[in-house]
Amino acid sequence: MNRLVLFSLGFVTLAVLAHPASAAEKKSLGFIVVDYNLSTYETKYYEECPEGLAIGNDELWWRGLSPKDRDKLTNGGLIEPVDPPRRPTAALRGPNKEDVCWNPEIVKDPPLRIVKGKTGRGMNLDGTEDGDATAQSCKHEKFTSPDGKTKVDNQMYRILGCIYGWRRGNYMEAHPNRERRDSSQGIFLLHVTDVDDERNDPDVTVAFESTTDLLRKDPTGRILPWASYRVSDTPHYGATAKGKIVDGHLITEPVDARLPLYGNNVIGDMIYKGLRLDLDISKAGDGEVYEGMLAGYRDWDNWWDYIRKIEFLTVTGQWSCPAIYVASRELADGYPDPKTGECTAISEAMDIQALPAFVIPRAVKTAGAAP
Amino acid sequence: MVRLFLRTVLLFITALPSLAAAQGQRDFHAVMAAEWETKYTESPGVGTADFHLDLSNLKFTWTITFKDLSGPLETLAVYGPAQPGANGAKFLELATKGATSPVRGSAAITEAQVQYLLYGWTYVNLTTGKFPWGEIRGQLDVRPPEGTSK
Repeated sequence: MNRLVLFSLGFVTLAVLAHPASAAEKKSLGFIVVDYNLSTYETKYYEECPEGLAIGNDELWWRGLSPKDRDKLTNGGLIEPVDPPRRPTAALRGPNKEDVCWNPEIVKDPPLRIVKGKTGRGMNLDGTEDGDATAQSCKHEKFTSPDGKTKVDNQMYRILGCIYGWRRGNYMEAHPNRERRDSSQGIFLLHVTDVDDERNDPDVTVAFESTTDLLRKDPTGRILPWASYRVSDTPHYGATAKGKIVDGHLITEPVDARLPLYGNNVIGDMIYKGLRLDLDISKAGDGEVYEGMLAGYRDWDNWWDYIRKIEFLTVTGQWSCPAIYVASRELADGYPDPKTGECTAISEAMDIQALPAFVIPRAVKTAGAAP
Repeated sequence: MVRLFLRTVLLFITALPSLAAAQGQRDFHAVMAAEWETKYTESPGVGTADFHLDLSNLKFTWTITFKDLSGPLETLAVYGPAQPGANGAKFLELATKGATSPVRGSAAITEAQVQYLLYGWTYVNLTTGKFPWGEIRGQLDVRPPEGTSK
């Protein structure tokens, strides 16, 4: 009997040595993320916005004029808020015609109308029960998600949730999603390695990568799953997080990361601290789309740089730079400045849609790869 | 003890409909004046417009007051979609020609019109013989429920 066991063990050992990959081979998974939107909770009649939707820049500009100038500069209202020269002129409402998006402290607007509801979606980023200040966070109010998850941090939703353009499906995010689909810019990859079991695995690695490859689409424009994408050589992408798979949910630990930004004519990066992922890889929807959430602290300076660059959308989106500037400074809840105590980042959660893809790591050279 | 329990239950049951009703209603308000007309208008006329919307049946109820107009009211209506300083289409007549202040009424409105109201894209405009484009106007804004900090 003992001899039989020893023989069997020896056979297995030999088999493993002969084929080292077969016994301990780790799988990798890949996803491409094109569409993402701020995680919000929206009711049909805006119960979460009891003060109404935010007041737009054009209204503030127009109200600030004398009645005669209102008529003259808009030709009695025939020049619409979106039309030139009204739209570019309206941004110059500083006392000396300064641009208020690039000088947001130069005028004092009415306070931004923000989300007042208790319901919101996202993750518990600061780890607290009640949003009290910690070494890594400023005091803030928490949300409870519609499915009962408590202690949710998502101050970006509190800031943007009552702005017409940021309501789900409206221009501020729908347009960048279309731009990314059309241009293949600003898309990012999730490269999951060290996978033993796609259903439950306590130890995997997730890299947040960028690619400059074009999206592969069918003749109708639908983005194809299972296409191959090479990881970009841009060194500041590729943040790597430890993660796990729990009942088909790919969950990562927090990691500081940059993601490529492309949308509303702005090219750049989205800089996050403590970014984490929860992607349900157990079931895909139509077109093999997997749904998930990315949440973390968006660096305020990085975010504000984007906001002031999209000032041409204050009419389409119905918002005002000075009001959003003040509100975002007040509601920032992450990473206090050690000197001032003012928080330098905003908690945020994004709903993402991911398609399965083959991710070709940097080290792998393909026949078609550019030199 | 039992009485206290029953009283608590009764209180809860009676509070439920009023809570639901509060959530299913919206109020809108506008201050009307000549200065809010898109076309330059000189008039001492002023007014207020108060609307109540029952979201369960989209019944829209209003009370409009006005004074110091240049002459009798010609038209009084809600317009949209338009932000301040822009012109919308008339979508709800609020009074008949010659009506005097205060004007009260109600009508059912559509889901699309409710959305325009909630966006802040509607206004009330009052015309007179001297000012056929409008003598006083006011943009409708959501009036927050009581207890909501502004």
